[in-house]
Amino acid sequence: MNEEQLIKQLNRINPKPSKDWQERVIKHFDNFVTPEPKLRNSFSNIFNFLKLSNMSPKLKAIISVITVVATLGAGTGTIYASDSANPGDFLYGLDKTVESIQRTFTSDPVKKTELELAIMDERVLELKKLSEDDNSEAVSELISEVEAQQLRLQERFQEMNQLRTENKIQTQEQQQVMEKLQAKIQVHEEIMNQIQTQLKSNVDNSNSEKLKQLQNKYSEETQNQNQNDGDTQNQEQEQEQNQNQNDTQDNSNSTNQNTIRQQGQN
Amino acid sequence: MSEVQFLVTWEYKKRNSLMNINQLETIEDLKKLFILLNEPIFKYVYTRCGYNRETAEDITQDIFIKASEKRAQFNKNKSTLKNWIYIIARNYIIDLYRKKKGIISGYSDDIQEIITEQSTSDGNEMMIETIIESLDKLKEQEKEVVILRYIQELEIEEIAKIINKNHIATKVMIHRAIKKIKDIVDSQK
Repeated sequence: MNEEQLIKQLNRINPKPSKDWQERVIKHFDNFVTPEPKLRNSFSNIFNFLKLSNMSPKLKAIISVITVVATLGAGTGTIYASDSANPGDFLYGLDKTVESIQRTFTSDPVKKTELELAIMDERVLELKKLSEDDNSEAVSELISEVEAQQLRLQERFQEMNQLRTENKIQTQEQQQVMEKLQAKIQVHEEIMNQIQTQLKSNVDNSNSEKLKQLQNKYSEETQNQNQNDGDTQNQEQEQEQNQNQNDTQDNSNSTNQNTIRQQGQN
Repeated sequence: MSEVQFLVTWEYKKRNSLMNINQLETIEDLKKLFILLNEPIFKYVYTRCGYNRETAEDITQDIFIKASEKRAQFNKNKSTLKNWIYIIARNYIIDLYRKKKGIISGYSDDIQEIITEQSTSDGNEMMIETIIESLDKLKEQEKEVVILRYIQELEIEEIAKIINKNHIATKVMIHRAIKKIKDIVDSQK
């Protein structure tokens, strides 16, 4: 068989739809055809607009810049939106990633503590929201995360205290962050109490027990830290007092010397 | 003759050639489009999706629904209505292949039903079954260009636009595919 014969045979393949079907479709055309066409979405409109050949290159450049800025804006928007995402949400993974990136890029101990504190804040609120939904599996998972976050916070606490005793930093900022920590911890405890009540009303005993243990640990640690903190403060106060006493002694010494000199001159 | 039957007749087609439809705004426009192009699109779907009349009719109907939804995107300065609907059909079929839905392999209808009778017999009637079988052995794109060129009888320029390739590449692809079919048919003799 040559190619010409082959093409002739192919030309003969001519299936036709049934007349029934054609009539049926035309008859019911109004039923299946949407009266209003679907409009393109805004993004493809932008690109279609760029394709217009009569547009000046300058205008094209301006539009490109606007598009890039808008896209970046949308990206930031997503990250911002992810911040309020709850476990199980689409953006929750992104939320966690953003947190770990923030951790990597924060080196200042005071800022680090503030960051961990903010994350703890978020976790506790998430837990509160989730406990209202009565999803015991997700709640259990989140309690473990709160626990992990609490350990991180504890580390920050220890570091801050260590720095204080070593007198590496002794700033107002540090003092403020410590005060903030204590205030926040009280708030967290209150919220955890509320969650506890919620879990009990959900008859979610295992999670309730888990949270209770965590709460005990949390308050224990805080008390320890507070004691340490108190000790350090006491030591500092003592040091300061000693210093002041020395100063006064020095002053009195110098005053005595001055009086002697004056007496001598007289 | 009912109105519907009249619409399907050749007379109507002649009076309302595709040249007269350059917009797709009303349901009437879409109806005309269906009347003029349902047969070629059906043929295209039929040969590409398993040679089964019912399946091909369903898919063709879906393609026209899709076209009606997308009618705002039709730009008469960019392509002809015929090419536009072929592109929609092609994308629809590619999508089906991806989902592996509605595609039946091999042919399920009686081959004799789909052949146009020729007055002069060239003694090769039995070959058509072998040709369809060899067509199925080609790569998807090769099969597609052969269908578009020799079963749909489109111009190379039109095919190039549908498959989004340049004229020469399309021509070469068609040539190679035909040679392949010839080799397969010859080897089975």
